[in-house]
Amino acid sequence: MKSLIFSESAEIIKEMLNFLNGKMEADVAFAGETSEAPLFAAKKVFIIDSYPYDPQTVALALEGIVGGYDYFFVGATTVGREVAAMVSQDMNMPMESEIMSFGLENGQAKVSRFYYGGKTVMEKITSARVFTVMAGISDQLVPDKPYEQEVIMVHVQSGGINLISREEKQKGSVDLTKADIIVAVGRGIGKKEGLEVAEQLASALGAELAGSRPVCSDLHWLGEERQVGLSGKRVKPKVYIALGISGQIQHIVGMRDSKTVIAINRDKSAPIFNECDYGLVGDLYAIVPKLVQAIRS
Amino acid sequence: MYVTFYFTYALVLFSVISILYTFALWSKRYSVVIGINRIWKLGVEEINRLIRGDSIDRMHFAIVVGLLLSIAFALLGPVLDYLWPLLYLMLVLSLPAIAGLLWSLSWRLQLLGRSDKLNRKLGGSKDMIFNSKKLQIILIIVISFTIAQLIVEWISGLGWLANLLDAAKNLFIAFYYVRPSINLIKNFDRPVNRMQIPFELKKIQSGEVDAAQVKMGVDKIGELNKDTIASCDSCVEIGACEAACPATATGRILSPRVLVRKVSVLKSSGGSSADPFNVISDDEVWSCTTCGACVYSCPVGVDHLGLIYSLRRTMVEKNRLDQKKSSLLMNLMQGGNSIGMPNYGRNSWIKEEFGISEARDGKPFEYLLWVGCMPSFDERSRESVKSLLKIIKEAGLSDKLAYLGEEETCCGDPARRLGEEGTFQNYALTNIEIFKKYGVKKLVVLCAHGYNSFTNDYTSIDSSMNGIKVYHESQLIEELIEKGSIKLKKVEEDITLHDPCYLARYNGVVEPQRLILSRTANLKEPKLSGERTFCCGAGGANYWYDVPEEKRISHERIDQLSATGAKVTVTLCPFCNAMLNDASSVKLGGSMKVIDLSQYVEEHMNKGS
Ligand SMILES: Cc1cc2nc3c(=O)[nH]c(=O)nc-3n(C[C@H](O)[C@H](O)[C@H](O)COP(=O)(O)OP(=O)(O)OC[C@H]3O[C@@H](n4cnc5c(N)ncnc54)[C@H](O)[C@@H]3O)c2cc1C
Ligand code: SF4
Repeated sequence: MKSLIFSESAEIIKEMLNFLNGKMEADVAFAGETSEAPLFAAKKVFIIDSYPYDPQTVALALEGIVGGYDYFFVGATTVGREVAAMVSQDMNMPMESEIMSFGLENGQAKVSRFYYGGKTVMEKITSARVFTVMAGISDQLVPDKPYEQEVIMVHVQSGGINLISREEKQKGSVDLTKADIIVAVGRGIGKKEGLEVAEQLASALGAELAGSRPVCSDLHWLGEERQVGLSGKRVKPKVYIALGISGQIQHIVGMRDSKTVIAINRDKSAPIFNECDYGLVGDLYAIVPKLVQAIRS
Repeated sequence: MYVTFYFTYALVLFSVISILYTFALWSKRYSVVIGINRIWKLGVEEINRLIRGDSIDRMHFAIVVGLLLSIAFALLGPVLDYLWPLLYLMLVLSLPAIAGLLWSLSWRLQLLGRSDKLNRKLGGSKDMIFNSKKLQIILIIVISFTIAQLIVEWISGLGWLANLLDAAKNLFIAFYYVRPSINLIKNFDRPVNRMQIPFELKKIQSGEVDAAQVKMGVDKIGELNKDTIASCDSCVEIGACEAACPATATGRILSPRVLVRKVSVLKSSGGSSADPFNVISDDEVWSCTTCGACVYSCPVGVDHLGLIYSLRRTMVEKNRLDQKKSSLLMNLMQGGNSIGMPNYGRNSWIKEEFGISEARDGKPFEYLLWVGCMPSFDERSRESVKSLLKIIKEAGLSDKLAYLGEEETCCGDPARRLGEEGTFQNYALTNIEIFKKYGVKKLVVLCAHGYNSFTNDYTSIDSSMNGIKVYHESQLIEELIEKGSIKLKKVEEDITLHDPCYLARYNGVVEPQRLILSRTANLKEPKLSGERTFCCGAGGANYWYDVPEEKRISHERIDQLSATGAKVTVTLCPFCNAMLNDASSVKLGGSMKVIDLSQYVEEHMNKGS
């Protein structure tokens, strides 16, 4: 059994190498942008030349390679999902998406994935040969010494999409989607000066500050790039702390994938308490400073 | 003197024949049969619009009457002196017509500057800007000539001048206004809710149609539906759509007038193979809330929405979607609802709290309650379901009601309006099967979008849907009050009402809510209400994404509602409710209470009577 791993992110490839480690041999196809070829713990590394921003082109390049492998694993990123589906269709290889475990049982693949909108996990024996793998489920496998490997450059014809220019992201902009801990404030903080309390908590925890729509795009106490929700960011940190946020559905859809949710709100019937793991009913101005003190000591 | 008169009279005859000739030519081109019956119906509709309509409708009426009158004056010129009673009648009629024409003229002159600014802001090409001005100036000339002619008719001895004015104006009409007239004759009774269907999923699934041949979007103007192209070519820059459009009003980068004109001008300069997206930006198309105000208000029957949907389908087909739009589609494709919550255990609380059974329990039922995505997952709009269920209980109908629970998904409206026709039809076909499985005869919805979907979108996909009576909650509640099953008490309170576009404008449901509310309180109508309602900003999938704008549409609307002086707004759709609730709390510090009809009725119902 031999497999090919693909992603446009070197980190995700390393995760997937760990994911398959000990289960079967894996080669790597990489289409990301780097100045030098990244180091992978794999015997064969295909580098898709001049990363062409266009899933269709990447898929075509991969289709020339993937025929020699039993299984094809793709990191479940936006590009990856598209590439996997295209390869599956064109090569007539059945596909299973967003898997979080993989094993071989009597020569057949056994995978698990979320089911019922995330409420259960389904295990499944499948005849699929293409898989998208959820990101962030394994640590990265990094070879500690130079790894003997064959590097093969794959040249692709540029498809319909070309890189015309690059613009730096605005300075000071945050990427909430990558934050591990988020302290989010709602209108419950009452006044702009109240942000200080939240900032203290955030700095004690090494967290990013975020807010509900009223706080960000209506009152402009925080920048709009910090808004969480339907018309803001979708975040999934390990810990999400909601201060004075009522928890309307438009806010909830932006943070419900957070691992642990802690809510502080004065109103015990606030809907946020249906969405949290830990809820504190009370005045945030009384509770948060004590929390900060406790964390600092 | 006689010689000049008859020479100019010959010109009048020539110009009138030109009009008739171009009429014949274009009606053949557009395959429109112009019968007396159709013209009569159009006349009735025009008078209806005069009575019900807004100022632009009245100006339009004045122009039509002015034109007809002026042509009649010229044609009958030689004999009119002998038909003096008719002459006097026409002279008298010309006075209000002149007044109306002067009014239109002043509006048109103001518009000239305003629309030029807008054309530039929205990236109109040089060609488009020039053409826009040209058409507007021609309209100004036609109106001015008509006014001049109607005045000259009062002065004896100037018949030749009247003839000249008439002939010149008629030639403009023959050249520029015959096409729009034919478009109007063809389309004046086309309902706002009518949508072109690019393909039928059912036929693809059954193999009748080859999927490879199906095209969702358009790469060239020539691939647009013929009616859509005719629509674009019929626009004569009247500007009624733009005046009604909530997107234009709030500074989004869209004007329905500019949009159709861009396509038409591009077609005449670049031909049918030009890509409409050469002149139109993605956000221009996303700015539309599909409220239908443009289509509803256009005096010449242009279907702006047909164009907008074609362009949206193109962007979806090419995957030109930002994260918010794609996550809506992802939720619909994977999650079974538009909100992005797990569908598992959907609405199980209804059984627990109200003892109402699910359809799959097998108990016979008369009404099936379609809860809808918003009320199923949003705490706040869940209150409206609770109220409706209490009303139903009060009326003794709880036993006759069932709901779908986990079998309920989305009606598919957001997918269709976003341009993802396949996902919409998939939902429609699935839901229709469920309705068939349970032999559903009556469907109750709280949402204006579900109402429109089930009554119009679904019936065009499967005729079996014609056998299902769809009730919007307002219709059911009104029926229950009529029957005496529930009784309301009157309070001295000023309230106002927000009509959802998809209920009032799309489906003409405007009465039940007014009957109900005028029984319980003092109803203060906002300036734009009933079929002329102003959008809340959520329609056309706008609830799920954002576009650049100067002001939120919901904020504009809450200002309009609060101008009535009322402190309570009653809504008839959970999406309107969410938008206006949010607008009230942000813009008015929550001083306007926004509440669903069912909640208002439940609060004002004599309980246990
Ligand atoms: C189309 C649309 C899109 C939207 N998109 C978003 C979005 O992306 N993100 C978003 O957040 N919202 C969004 N909203 C708005 C959403 O509906 C809510 O209005 C908003 O989330 C409420 O924000 P909030 O919780 O900060 O304020 P509120 O609802 O006003 O809640 C304030 C809370 O603070 C509590 N509180 C007050 N004082 C204290 C105190 N001293 N200590 C502790 N608690 C206190 C109160 O009990 C209350 O629960 C959207 C709305 C619409 C219509
Ligand atoms: S449907 Fe409404 S928002 Fe869209 S262009 Fe027409 S008037 Fe404007």
